[in-house]
Amino acid sequence: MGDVQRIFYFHVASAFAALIGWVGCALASIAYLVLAGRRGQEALANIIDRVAYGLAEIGVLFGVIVLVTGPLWAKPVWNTYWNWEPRLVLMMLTQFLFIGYLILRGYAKRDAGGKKLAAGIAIIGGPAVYLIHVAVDLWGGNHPSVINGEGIRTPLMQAAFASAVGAVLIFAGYLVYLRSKHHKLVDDLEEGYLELADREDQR
Amino acid sequence: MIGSAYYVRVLRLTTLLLALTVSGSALAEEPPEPRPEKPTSFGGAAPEAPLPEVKPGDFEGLLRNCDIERSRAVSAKKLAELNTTNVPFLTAAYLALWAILLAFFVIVSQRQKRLHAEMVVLRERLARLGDDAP
Repeated sequence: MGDVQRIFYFHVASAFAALIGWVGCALASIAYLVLAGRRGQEALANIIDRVAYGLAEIGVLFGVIVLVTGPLWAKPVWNTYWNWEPRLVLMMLTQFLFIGYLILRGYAKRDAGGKKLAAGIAIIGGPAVYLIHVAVDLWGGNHPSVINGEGIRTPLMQAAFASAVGAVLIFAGYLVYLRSKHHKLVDDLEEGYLELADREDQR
Repeated sequence: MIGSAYYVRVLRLTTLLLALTVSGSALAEEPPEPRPEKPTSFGGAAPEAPLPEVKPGDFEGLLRNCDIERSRAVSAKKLAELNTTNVPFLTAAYLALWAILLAFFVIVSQRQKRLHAEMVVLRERLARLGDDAP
């Protein structure tokens, strides 16, 4: 394979970040749907919803990195940029699913109905992520089963892989935190406009 | 509230973390010894078995060993050629990674600036209404 194997370190690390982001979004969406219907839990539900939104955004960001760097690795190794193996197709479909989630959630803003619909879409994404993980074992494909089977054996490569995964996951976690704060600001702004409308009505 | 300073900090952190990732991957070399026992999907090659012993006068054995050595030399040459042809893909992948992250930060920071400006205007309007309130 030669030097092109170095793509592997951030390609796989980004895939981990994307999949964790999407699973996190699906779990947070379940929590949101549970809490949104309970009295006195609205504030907590909104926080969870913002975190889910941030997780989906970062999942999509790293999903794009995976889908761009993957073909650049595949061309010299598999002699093709893309093949329609189950893992690749599922990854692409899940990416589109979460892009759909982001569009819907973006339009919903503070509307509870829209938020719940978006949460429903995110929940569908959870099992899709599991299928991406087991796709090679279930249906085969060019991707190797690195985690369950045999993959990196050289200690230096294992250390580089661990540091790459750790660095990307810390970075992704920080981005989720920042995006959640950003969505809080958007909500505050919406609330401010409502207050402004109220005050203008009072005058 | 998030200011643009946050994004400067994020950019610094990104640079640091990705530099760590990139340098980690750059350092990760496959050492010549020991080789994996069988071929793997990540460039590991089968171990090179020692050449069979040749008794004095066994010219056929000597020729077989020559063939083995030649095929190993061909493999080494192929790997060197492979690296020459594959490096552009590696470069493209690194460039794509940085381009995607940069585009993300530019888009997000622009949105952030717009939000802050909107928030300042809203606060002013609210304060003005609050002062005028009966």
